[in-house]
Amino acid sequence: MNQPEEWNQPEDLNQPDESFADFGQHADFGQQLTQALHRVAPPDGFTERVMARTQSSMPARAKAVTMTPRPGRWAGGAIAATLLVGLFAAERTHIRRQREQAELAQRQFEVAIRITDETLEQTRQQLQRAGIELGN
Amino acid sequence: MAIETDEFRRLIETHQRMVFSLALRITGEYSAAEEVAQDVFLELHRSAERLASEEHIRFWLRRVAVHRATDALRRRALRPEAAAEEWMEDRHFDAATSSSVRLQARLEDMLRALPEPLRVAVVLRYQEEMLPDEIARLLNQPVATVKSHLQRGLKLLRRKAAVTMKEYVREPA
Repeated sequence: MNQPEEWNQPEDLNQPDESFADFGQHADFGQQLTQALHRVAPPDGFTERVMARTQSSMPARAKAVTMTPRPGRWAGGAIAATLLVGLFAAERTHIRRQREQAELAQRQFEVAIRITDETLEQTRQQLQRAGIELGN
Repeated sequence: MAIETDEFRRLIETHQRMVFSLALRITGEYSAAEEVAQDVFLELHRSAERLASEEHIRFWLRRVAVHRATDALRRRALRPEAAAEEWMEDRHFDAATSSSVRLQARLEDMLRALPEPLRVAVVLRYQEEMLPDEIARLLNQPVATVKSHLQRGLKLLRRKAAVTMKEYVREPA
């Protein structure tokens, strides 16, 4: 296996150390590691520093919440506004179509009345030519 | 608020040694370790309501501490000058320093020279006394990978110890 580059550093670790002549002689290497790698305490005041950071981060989060609308609420408002605009436009279209239909019906009625008048006039003239006089 | 202040303080005091030690042994740097440990507890403060039990909290803290410390280590690796400064800090021991303290300091130095994945596995195995399958679950890795990292890590440490500590370190039977 290739040794990692950092394995050769630092140089002083490659020098024999007389103090540890018995290392590895008394117990399993893993046990020695367990004894050496015991947990260590963080620097004094660690708890207070974490608590302080917690306290200082809370107003910032609250401010962010109040200044920035929640996506759900914002999206709901947009959807409602779009629906209102859509309903208004549909209503306007419906009214315009009703008005157009009414105007068309009015024109058709007027045409029908005119045709009826003309027909009646022709009939009256034919009868008059035949010597039949209708009462007014 | 995610968690009561008193309960959060209790969690910090219960687990701070574990979180700080993981961060210290993985980053290899005292100030970085405190920063990582603080960040881990701040993240716990935001996430505590999702954690069901004390066991779940310990598992979560170990996992997040390893990830944050590994991230810090990788960021530092991108700044070689920072690593070089760390190495320049010589340890000075006087005659009164006990052999066990000096041995521990040497082991810390050797551990810091291990490649990151091997270092993480060794720290979890020998500091936290976790079994390989527990480490595998924590790191989301196959058990075989964890065992391989442990074997390689121990082999490198043993070889380094053999050079550093003069006497031959006994091979396992």
